Amino acid sequence: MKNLIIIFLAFTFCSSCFAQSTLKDGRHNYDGKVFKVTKSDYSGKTSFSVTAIGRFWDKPSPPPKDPYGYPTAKKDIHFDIDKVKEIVNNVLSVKKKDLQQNMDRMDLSFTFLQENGSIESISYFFNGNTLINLRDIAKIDRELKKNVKATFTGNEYKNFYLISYGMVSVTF
Amino acid sequence: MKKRLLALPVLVLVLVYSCRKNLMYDMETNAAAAGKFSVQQARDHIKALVRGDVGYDGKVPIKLMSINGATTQNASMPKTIKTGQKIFYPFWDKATTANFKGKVDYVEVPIALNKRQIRLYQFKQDNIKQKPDASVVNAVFQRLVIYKNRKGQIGQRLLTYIPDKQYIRDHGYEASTNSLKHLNRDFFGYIEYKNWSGDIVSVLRVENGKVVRKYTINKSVKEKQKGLGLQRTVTSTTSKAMSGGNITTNSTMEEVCNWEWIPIMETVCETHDDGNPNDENLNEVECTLQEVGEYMDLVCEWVEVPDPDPCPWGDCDEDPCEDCENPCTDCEEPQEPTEDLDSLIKKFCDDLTEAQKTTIKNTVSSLKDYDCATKFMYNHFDNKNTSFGFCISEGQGSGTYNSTTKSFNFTSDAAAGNMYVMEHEFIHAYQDDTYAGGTAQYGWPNNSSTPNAGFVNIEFEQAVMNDMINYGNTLALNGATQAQIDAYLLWINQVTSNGTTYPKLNPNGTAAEIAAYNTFMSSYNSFLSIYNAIPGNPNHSTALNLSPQALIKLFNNINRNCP
Repeated sequence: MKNLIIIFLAFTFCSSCFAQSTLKDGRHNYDGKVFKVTKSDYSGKTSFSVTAIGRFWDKPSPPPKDPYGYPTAKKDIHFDIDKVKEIVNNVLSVKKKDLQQNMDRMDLSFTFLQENGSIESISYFFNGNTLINLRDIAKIDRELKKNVKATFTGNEYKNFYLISYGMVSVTF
Repeated sequence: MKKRLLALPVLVLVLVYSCRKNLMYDMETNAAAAGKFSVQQARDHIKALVRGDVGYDGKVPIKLMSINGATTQNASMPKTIKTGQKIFYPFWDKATTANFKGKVDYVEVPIALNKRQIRLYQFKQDNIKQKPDASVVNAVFQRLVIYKNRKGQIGQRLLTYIPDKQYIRDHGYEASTNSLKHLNRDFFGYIEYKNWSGDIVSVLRVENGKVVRKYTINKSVKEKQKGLGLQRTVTSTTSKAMSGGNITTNSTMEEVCNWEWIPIMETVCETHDDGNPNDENLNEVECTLQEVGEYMDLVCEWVEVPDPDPCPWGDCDEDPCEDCENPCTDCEEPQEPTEDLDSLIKKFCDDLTEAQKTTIKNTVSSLKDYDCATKFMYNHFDNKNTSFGFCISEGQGSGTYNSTTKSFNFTSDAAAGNMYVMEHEFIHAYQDDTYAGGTAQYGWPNNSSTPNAGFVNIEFEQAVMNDMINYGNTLALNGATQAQIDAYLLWINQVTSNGTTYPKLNPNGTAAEIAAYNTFMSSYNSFLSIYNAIPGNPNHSTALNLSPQALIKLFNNINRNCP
């Protein structure tokens, strides 16, 4: 019985330890993908970025046909931002209270493929004390890439192979 | 008890001041109610003329767009004289109201200009014994007269009082006690009338406080810079029919015209005006005086002197109208700018269609509330009375800002109507305004296959400013690897606190501020190197060790939420 209690306590403490170090600098394999976690300290503030390494990770993305062409305006990029937030919130629903107490936030930068509107990559940005771990991010990444697609209007988008939307911020 | 005794006089003062304020208000209100032309109405009229004005207070500079533009358009202006930006300051608290012969109400307001050119008239008919010089220029003063006739039409004139040298000698080099309402009995000098476009409509010769001659400066065909000897022997005499005005109705007048050389003295005054009406140093003015040239003008004198009183409305001799009553303000409509231009638009290229002009006007006007950065830049230029030329024609890219000509060119109608392009180019204009010596030194010279060193700095700074303003954009690293873009986004994320603030940097501040600046610059320069190395980057050049001055200045002045 004594041993059981010790094991239980040890397990509990270890879980707690894991929970405190949610993200770690470096490359991590998860859900069949390689995620790059980058930690950065700037003026006393720590932040993380997380990205599933894709085909343009370490090689230049295709240049625009017209180098002077202006970027696609946000109003010409259409996708369901509410759905994005819904997916994020669903995955993190069990942590919602803790995330709120921690004033956690997630900023997502989307890059779409011009030819079919699918998501080419998503970069995630977090505060240094985030409670969101890589397992959460991998699940969110999978759900978003599966369920979210963009369409484009206007003419500017035709100049680009990849179309960046900018940031979508999710607060809890 | 002592405290109460002290409080009593303070209370009395407050009450007196309050009463005084009400009294002033009542006087204005009563004047307006009685149908008289009040100072407030005059202010409102000028405010309506000067579009885009903000604040509007006695200390706030009024941007004289029309006058500013017209001085450079005036054919008689020697090309070597650059008027630059004119700002005039009305002293509304010293404005006076008056009535002329029961027919015209007018308000006369003392004004000060930061830069002015004074014509030192010395017509031979006037037998001026002492040649005007710098002391006269120093005694010259200017007023704005806003008048309202019986039909309710409102107009305005810019008056310049040019006293004779003898007069100011006798009056301690001070002449500003004179006004249209009350000219000193021994006043000798000229009063020059300009319309809102800056054209001289007439010059009155005043002797012993009475108008004795009236001159019109019809046209100028020659110009001369100092030292060039041109003949001055042209004389002509013409006669013309004239009706209305303050000259005898339906009478025929003879007009005698002579070519006259008129020396031009220019005073350039610098103030501490940075657009802040609360600046305590605003009224500190330093002026320099120099003779900048001479005009050769065809000066015409009306031989018959019709009216001894100074006419606050100029004349209507060129365009008599049937129902022109005396005074002759009925001859002209209240003057409005000829084209409804945004205050940042100086001119359009001649070949633009009305639709293209409208597109540009709308896009420029949208800068006022597109985002806090464009709003700040718009107001910055507006407050400095800076305006630009706009064209749509073939060229490089979507648009360009020419720092030499201070003009924008868009390569298509769509580009001219695109806010991203407009914001991009206005950031370049702001950079040009910020860097000492402008950004032409870092530009792309004509007929050169490569840009000057520093070109990449300017373009990169613009892109970073844009990416910080539009949080999440990565314009500065278009074409870079995903790893580089992520690092850049993470940096933007940090320096803007998740896009909620702008970096506040002070390279010359405290040790902590300098350290923060150095930290910022370390990352900034590393991304600049990445940007400069992106394959196919059309803005590649030799990079210089330049501080991003425009970025620092802009972001130190704005926040995410703007008033």
